[in-house]
Amino acid sequence: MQSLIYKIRYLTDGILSLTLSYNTFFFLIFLFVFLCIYFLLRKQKAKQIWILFGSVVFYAWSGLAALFIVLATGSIVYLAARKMGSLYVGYEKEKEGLSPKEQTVLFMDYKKKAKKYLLTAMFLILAVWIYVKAGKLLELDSVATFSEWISGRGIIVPLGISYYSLSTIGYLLDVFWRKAKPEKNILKLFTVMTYFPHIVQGPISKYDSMLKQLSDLPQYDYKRVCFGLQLMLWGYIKKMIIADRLIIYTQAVFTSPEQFAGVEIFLAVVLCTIQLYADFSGCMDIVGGISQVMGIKLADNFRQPFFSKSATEFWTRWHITLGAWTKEYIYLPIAMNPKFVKYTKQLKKNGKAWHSSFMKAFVPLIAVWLFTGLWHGTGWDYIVWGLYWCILMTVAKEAKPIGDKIISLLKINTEKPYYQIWQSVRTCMIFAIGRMFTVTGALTGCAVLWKRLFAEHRLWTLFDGSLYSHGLDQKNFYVALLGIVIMLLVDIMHEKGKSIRQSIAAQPLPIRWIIYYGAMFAIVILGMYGPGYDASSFAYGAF
Amino acid sequence: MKRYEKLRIIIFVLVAMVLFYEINILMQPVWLEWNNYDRTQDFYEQPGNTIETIFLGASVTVNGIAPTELYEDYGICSYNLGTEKQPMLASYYWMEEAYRLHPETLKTFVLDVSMLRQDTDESFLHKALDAMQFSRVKLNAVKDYAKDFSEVFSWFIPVFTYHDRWSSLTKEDFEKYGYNTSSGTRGYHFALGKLLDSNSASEITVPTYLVDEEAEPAEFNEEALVYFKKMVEFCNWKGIKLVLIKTPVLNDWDSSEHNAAMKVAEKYQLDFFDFNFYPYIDEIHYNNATDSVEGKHMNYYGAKKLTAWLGNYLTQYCGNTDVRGNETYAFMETEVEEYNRHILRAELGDIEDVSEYLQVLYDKRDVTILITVKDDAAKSLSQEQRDRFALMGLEKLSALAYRDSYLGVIVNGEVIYEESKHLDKEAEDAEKSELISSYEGTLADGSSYAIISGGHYLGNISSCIIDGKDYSVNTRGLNIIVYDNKRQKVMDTTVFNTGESATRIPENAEKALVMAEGTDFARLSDTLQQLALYNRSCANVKKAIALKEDIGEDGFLQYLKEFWGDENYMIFLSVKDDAARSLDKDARSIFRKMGLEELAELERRDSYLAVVKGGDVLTEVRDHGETPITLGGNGYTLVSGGMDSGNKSSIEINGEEYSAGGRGINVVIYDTALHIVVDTVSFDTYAIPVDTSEIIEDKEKND
Repeated sequence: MQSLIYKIRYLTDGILSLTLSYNTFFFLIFLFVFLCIYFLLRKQKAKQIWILFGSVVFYAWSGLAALFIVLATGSIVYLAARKMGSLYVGYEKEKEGLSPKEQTVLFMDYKKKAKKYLLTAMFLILAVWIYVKAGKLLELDSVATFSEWISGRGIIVPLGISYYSLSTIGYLLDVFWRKAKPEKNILKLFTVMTYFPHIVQGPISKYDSMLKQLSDLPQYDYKRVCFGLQLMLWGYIKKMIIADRLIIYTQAVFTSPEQFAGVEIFLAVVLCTIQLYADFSGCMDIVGGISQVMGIKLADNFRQPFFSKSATEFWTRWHITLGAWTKEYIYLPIAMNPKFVKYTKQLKKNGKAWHSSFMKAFVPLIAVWLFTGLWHGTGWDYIVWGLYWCILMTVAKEAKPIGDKIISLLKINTEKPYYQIWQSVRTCMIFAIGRMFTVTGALTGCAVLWKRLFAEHRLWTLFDGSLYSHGLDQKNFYVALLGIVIMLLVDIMHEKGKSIRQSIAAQPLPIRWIIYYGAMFAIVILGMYGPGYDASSFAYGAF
Repeated sequence: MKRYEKLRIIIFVLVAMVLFYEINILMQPVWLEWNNYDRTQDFYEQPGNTIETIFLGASVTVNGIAPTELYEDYGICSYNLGTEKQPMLASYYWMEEAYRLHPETLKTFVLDVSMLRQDTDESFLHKALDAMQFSRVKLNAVKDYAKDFSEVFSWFIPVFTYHDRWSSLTKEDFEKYGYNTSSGTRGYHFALGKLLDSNSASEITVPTYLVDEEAEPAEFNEEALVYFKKMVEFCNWKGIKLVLIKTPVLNDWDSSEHNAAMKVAEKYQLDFFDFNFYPYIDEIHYNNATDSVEGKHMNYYGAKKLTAWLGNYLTQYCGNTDVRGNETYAFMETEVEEYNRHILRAELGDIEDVSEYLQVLYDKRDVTILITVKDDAAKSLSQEQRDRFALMGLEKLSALAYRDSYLGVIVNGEVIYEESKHLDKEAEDAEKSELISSYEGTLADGSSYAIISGGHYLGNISSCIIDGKDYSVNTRGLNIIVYDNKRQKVMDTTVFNTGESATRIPENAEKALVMAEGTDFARLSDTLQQLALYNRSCANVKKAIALKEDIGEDGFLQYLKEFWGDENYMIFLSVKDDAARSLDKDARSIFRKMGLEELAELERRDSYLAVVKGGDVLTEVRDHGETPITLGGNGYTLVSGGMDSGNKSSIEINGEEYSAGGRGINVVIYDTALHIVVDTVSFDTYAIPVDTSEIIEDKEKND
């Protein structure tokens, strides 16, 4: 009997010690069990509760204390939204029979009351978030239980706090602005908030749309499930074969940049941008695929960003949901703020047209970019990184007439492919330069990178094999390159509006299966995982 | 879900599972070179409850003990479960696993203690455990080691651990499918190279024979000791005898480690046999020069010696039984047959006569023999040899003339091709390439081969290319390549220089040296010369030990007698302080007779130096000045100072000080053949009179 208890304890302890991250084997088992039961359930309500249960289990795995923080946050959001909602219902009732002017006055009154709830809730959410960020800044250890936290050993870092904080604030503002209706069912709100495919790394979902989808979950559909699985497979290829392979080289360079120079640095910078893209978009494909299997559509987070023609366009294609969030909840509120509008108009009237235009462009942008920078990280490197993008975009906008003039003087045809390719390359370069600010973890590191970039060219390292001596040997480099080429081809197809999954589906069964088995076993064999490999946590999960 | 969709999913998953299984096999390394995986897998082919003794330990065990020999000579059914650097954790769990399968017959576990020094290394743990079948035992072993649960997984699904191997897959990895694991070696790894092949006598470690009992016992690894304790407890519980051994590895085992192992053995009351020291090193007749591959692992000859000793011990002290002829063990006969085929290479190496060599192979099935001649192979062939060739059907070889080219192919005991060519004088350059004889064919497994022969005037070449690789030794004489059709490997490649001599020196150098006894040293082959020198070094050490044991503090004369008159030794004498006080008349008279005139006259507090070679006193100096006296010679400098003359003794040879530096007469014995100091000792003739009785007795006898 005692040995049985021991065995059960060993088994449970063992299972509990496993990591439940998207790229672990254990997660696949978890997902398999989760989906099997999900499809066995017929009723909407049962499905919803099962999703909530799955998400809570997934979340609890990273720490029970963190789960309580999330549920507490969810309760605050629920209460604040409900309060604001009931205030607006009150207003709707009261406004009957009033004149439009009186209605406006009455509305302002109600809005003022609603604002109190909004600000309180926002304050609480932001307070937790800032506390966590500050803790990271002070390099405190992250702990998993309240007792450890109380004994002052570190901070509790709720999984995906940067993502759900933005989503909840967005939801509260939407309710406040009456763009969205407050959800009455608290369990539904919890389900959307903790939904395990999006809580770790986004996309930063609009709860409004998620809630609607949750109320209308579709039944099992063979084709949809297949497509979802294929998307997951592609995500795993990007993450485990490309990104996790490239990071071995880039990490070697960025941890001790003073030992590298010239082409080695250049290559590391280029590869680290590709690595970040493969990692982050790979993860989005995995979670998007899981959601698709269930019949939920997550917001797109990437749309072939490296084909963008300008920095501004880039941010509408890279981490789209973050860009959309900052635009909707920071840029527009500032740009449309009556006082700000009045101020810029005044400037224009006073004959300071350029000044006014600059202010109009710069002030909301700097707010957006300071926020984006701080969202990514609390160090100076991320603040400078934010400023870099802000200045770049402002200059691009302000200097556009000059640029246009140069183009017309040089008689460059901007419609020609070569010019468009140049624009894409330019965007990539801009992004890569931006990455250099943050990639070493400190601004001094960035300075070293620039210094070493021009210290020597070291072109010979490409030929004498020393390139392959930093952890990634020649064969592995080739695999990574092949992966990059395939990823590029896929992006080109997508850019041209072709669906690869549709084209695969049109193939005869043997070819389809060969592709599927090929992809599966490519991950099993070429994927970077297993004993001795420890660099595979998702890059964007740390925010 | 529609029915066809269900069916499709089921088929898809089934195919995926089959592919996954196959990929697991592909990615699992089997270390064919060392055969770790195969040898342990082979263990599971053994019928249950048959094995009486299991050998455990690191590669020294793998190379040191041949269970099939134990069966052949003693009828003991045993198995060698050693693996490369086998962590104690693995040794322990293999113990459990062996017991799981042979609980009724197991009587002894023999463990080599070298791994008590090391903790668990993951890669070697894999080598040790990967081939262990899934059972509670393996699960426990993995659980013991794995840091977390996910690691436990990867131990049972090889691709999770070994998927990185995709970039280093070789032909062998694909040949694993359908690979025949049985080789009859029962876990033993066959190796033939020897230290003597690439080292001179002075480079090969000579045993110290005696343990330095004063040496501080080494610290064994804590984790290893934990598993060792578990092994002891397990054996006690199951009533099985645990025997500790240390195989001979002179370069990797010292007195402090011996003392530590001894301590452990005493603590748990276990037998411990250390074959690096007296008496066991002599009991197995271990010779480091001929029995060790590279100083770390024993070769086949060494393994045979140790195995024979163990066979005796296991039979006498561990109750192991002779199972030969027992029906249950009928399978062992097949193993013996396989084994003999496996070690045939060693047997072949010992054959001196080419006709005997061919005869042995001629009688074997499943071999292809390819013979080519370079330069000349006929000059020293005896008529008897030619007759034997003729009997085998090698007509042309039988009639081979001086400087002929010759090609011969024998497959499974049947001569399928023979060709010889003769030319009396040097041909023009342009013709040379056309003169070479060649033949091409296909081996039983489909590999192609091409053989070439050129006698002295016919190209002077030998070549044998199998699958693109030339195996011929390509020196004068009969070049022979033996291909094992069954194992699909070249089994032997050798040459008999029958142009020069009818027989050759066998590969077993020890045996060859015994055969050459009486031959002048200068006429021995280089290898045998080195072996003779090495053996002499060992003898010197033994002699020094014996002298220390047998001769007392008064044995100055007996001591000198041991080396007196031997041309190979130089004796250096140097006095310190005073050596005259206890020298009596008898002693002085004997000195005088020996030619040590000055020593016979030695007075109180005199300085004294002497050099003796082969019984001739080369130099002798005595003095009583204020400073010490010095004597220089070829490679040596001697200094002596009596009490009044500096009070010192120094005997420096090739820049190193050897004098024992004691009061009285200091003696250093130098071996002029090996250029090494054999012994250094001092006799206090101030306090202790020299024993002369034995010498006088001898003299009386002679008179």
